[in-house]
Amino acid sequence: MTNPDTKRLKMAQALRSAFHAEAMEESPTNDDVSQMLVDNGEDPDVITRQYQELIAEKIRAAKKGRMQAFRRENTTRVSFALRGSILMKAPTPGIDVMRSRIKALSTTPEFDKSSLAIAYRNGVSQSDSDIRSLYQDLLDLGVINDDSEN
Amino acid sequence: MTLKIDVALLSPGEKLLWEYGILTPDEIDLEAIAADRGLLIKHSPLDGADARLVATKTAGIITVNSRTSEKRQRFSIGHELGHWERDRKHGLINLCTKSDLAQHNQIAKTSEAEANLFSADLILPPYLVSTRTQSKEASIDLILNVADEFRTSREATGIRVARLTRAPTLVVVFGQRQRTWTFKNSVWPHYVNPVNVVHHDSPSFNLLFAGVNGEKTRDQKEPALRWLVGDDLRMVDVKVQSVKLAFNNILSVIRLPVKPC
Repeated sequence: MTNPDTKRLKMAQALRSAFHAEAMEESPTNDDVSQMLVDNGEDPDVITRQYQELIAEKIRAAKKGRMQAFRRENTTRVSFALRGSILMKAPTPGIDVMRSRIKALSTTPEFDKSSLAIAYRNGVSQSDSDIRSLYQDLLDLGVINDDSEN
Repeated sequence: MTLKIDVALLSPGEKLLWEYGILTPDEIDLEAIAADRGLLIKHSPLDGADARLVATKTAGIITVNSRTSEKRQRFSIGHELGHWERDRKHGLINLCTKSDLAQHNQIAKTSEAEANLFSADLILPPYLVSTRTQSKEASIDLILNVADEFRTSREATGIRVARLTRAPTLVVVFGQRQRTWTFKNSVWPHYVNPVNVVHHDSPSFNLLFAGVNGEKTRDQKEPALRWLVGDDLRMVDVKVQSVKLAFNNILSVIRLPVKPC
């Protein structure tokens, strides 16, 4: 093989490589993939479902992990919140002031726009103790401040 | 465990559980799900409610009455979670007292009913319960097994099991003076109703007046007329089993024979 022949052969190989690289860069269409699967004796619908289920399962597993982590964190948070309620953030105003501040909240635009909601299950009239804990919840959520003038 | 689920057929409560990959009853941790959805749960005494939800657009606090039973507390958490998940999308409803649920306030009543359904589907999700009831007859034995596994009340579990059963099934609670409530499943004939008091010849009568909480009768055949009022029942037997509840009540499950096709 002469030197020019070697040169020509190398060039042909380079061209072929470039051609393949270009071909690889072109993404196959859905139809191409379906056809490839059919050619391999597979059912595209079945394969699609299997992949969908696999992805959904991964998402569920991730959420489940998050839920378990939140569970651990929440236990700490609740106990901290309750301790805080009793020891550190005990509401200071009298019960009448708390009642009037809560009542005043129901006339605010936020309440009308449903950005604040208070719902009771099997609710009847609220005792002073209930009002105190509701006031604490409103404090915890930052809806009212302890030095609020509301 | 492999469960074949058609997600499109799940109720909103079931979808939430499915989203979290819940495959067994012990994985149903409502407090953890609530926390992941932005809700903090507090257990403390409430004088005027079973539970309270205080919510802004992004976070909320559910306080459940710690004086109620653990099962009731779970249901209350599910109920408030239902408000949070469902009503938040349409603008939260502010419910304060029973007066808000008066006849005129249909929106609030509907919202309450939907929150109850949501909660029932969270604590007794049909996609999990049905795997335990499949091809089984609704009996007190089955109800007690499911209630134990899902940590739910015997009454609520009775309704769920009856709903999932294909045979005509009636769940009923009797006090010593009278029947207190009834649930008929969808295939129960609407013209057949339960009697008002337990028949003195039935073993359930002794259970009602002399049994202790948790005691049960055998699942056995009895003449239909001891338990039911309706036409053409003279020659019919039903299968009945009862369990003693608290406060001198009994929960009974009555099954009509399935007519051959």
